[in-house]
Amino acid sequence: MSSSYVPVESLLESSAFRRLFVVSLVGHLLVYGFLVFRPSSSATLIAAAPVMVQMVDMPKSAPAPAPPAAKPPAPKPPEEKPKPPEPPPPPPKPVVKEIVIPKEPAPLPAKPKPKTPPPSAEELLAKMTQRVEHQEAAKAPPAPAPGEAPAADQQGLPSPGMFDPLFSPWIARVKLFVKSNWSGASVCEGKTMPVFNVDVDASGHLSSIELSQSSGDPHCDDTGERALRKSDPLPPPPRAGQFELRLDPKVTS
Amino acid sequence: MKKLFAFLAFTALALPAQAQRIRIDINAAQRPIPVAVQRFSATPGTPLPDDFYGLLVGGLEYSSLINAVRPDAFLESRDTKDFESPAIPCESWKAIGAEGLVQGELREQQGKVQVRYRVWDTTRCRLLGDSGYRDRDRAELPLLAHLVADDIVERFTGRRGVSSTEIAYASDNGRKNKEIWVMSADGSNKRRVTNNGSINLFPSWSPDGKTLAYTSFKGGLSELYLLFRGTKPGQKLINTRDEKFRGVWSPSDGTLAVVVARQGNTDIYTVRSDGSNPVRITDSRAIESSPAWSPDGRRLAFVSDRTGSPQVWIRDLDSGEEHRLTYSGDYNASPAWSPTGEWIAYTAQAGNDFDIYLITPDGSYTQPLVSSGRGDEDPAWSPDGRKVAFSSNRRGRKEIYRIDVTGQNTTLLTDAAGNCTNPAWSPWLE
Repeated sequence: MSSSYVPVESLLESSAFRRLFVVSLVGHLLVYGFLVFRPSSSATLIAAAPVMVQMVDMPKSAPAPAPPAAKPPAPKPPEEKPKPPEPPPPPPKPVVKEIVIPKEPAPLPAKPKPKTPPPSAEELLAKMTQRVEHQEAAKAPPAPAPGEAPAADQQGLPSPGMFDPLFSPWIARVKLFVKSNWSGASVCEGKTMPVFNVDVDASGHLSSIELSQSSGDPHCDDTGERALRKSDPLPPPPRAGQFELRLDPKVTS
Repeated sequence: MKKLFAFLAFTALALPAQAQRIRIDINAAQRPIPVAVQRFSATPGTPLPDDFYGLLVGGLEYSSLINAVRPDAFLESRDTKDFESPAIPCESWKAIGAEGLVQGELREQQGKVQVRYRVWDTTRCRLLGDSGYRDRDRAELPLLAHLVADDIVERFTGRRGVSSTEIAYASDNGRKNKEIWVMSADGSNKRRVTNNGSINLFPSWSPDGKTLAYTSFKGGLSELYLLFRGTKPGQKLINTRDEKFRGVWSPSDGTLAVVVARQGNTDIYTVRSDGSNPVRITDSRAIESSPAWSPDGRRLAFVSDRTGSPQVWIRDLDSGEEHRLTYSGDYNASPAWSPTGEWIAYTAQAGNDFDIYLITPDGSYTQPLVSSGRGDEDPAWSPDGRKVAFSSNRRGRKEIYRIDVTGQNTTLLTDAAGNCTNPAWSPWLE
């Protein structure tokens, strides 16, 4: 490969070179002007400032999804941030429930024109909402047909002992209701507690009562069964289902 | 491979449904079973005594486990009608909160009465029992009312009621002598059964309830006597010169445990009810007294001061092994073994007074039963093990009370002018 040396003075005297220089200068000025006067949202996203969005209400029965702040892991900020041409606009007024969306990886300073510009805040919010709705749709039971009682499946019911905002108020009412109907419990003193499996329909009716664990004393078991039959119907549950009722002979006030 | 996949898929689907059955724990309340009682019908010309219904309801409620629904709440008749009907309007009884219904009838033929009753579970609309008593004298109707009540209690609780039982006790009736008295378990029908003007103490019922053993000084020395139901008292149990202070019948056979003082030393013997075959049980220089049989008759609880203060001990009659049961306090006495074998009730000194405690036979657990701080002593168990009779000084003189083993429903049973002590609860009577 061969090369030839051209002195600078001869280039400056060349009219072709001068035209090219002027065109190049105008082009650079245009690019610079675009960068300075383009819409502020893009400039804000490029900056490191967090974006505040309103919390999306979650369905009560669905397990809480992992907080979006946890993923993806926040990238390390670049060592040298490009100095924004103007201070970012003040963040929106804080709302009661807010989460911080981690900033997208800032484009490297060496790439002034990334092929895919970072999404705007509206785009991020829409994307997250779509993700949550997708998760909710995947976990929620199928909606019953109009006029039809909800299906008695157990999907989404809380595990024993777990506080559940949907069932806990109903469970508290059932405890008081059955206790108020349990007579002759002192027959069970010194015995193990009888356990009953019951099917409760959407209106609270006990469609079946089954002694799953005897106290060892049929008369004690009878007091429990009478208490349940006397309590039929129970308060309507949030959802029809099967329940395990353990009747503890220990007397409480 | 397909089978394995099908199994795994089935397991994955089935287990979560099982695991997610919501568990609800329900605590109990101290509440008796509400039972409606219709007045028994009677054959024309042979009306029931006015108090029959009251005695029946009183017998049910004596159990503390059944509560009679007030008749003015009934949606159905207050009287038994159509006794032979195979069904009852259960919804009407459930609507007033009754979990059970009692119906009955009385028939009288040739001077003998027959009582029949039916017990219904109204929540399940199921007949629990159809039974009765026949060939009884009309004078027995009050007892029959309590017998029927005790049967009904058993239908609902599995353990027969005790309203038809009796309690014997010693009373001075405000005089210097003490006689043996017997009353119904509810405190009614009190009658004196000894009348010798001496000191008579420590009554004890035979297992069949037909004989009372008691201690009397009527002959000068302290001796044991037997009183047979329906005959004159006076049969001496053991004919020796030793003083005998207390005889306690074994619940399992005709053996009595007897406290005998010989040459200044007090020990416990066993003897047959005819006075034969005396066997020395304890043999120490300490004072041993207050024997109490276990329900199976194979162990004896007793009081001994061999460690320096009166404490409750237990002796296994088969092996002869003894172990101390009580350790708390300087005075623990009057043990009484519950008929169920679960508890031993005893008197414990609390400060300057006495309370009644319960302790398990292995000594692992103790709890107070009566603690008024006013001389609560001499516990005696009802045959169902649900109640304890005792004497107490809480009104300024010794009187007989009864209390549920739950510590509730303390009831005064005596109203004598003087002191009443040494209660002994009879077994079930027929």
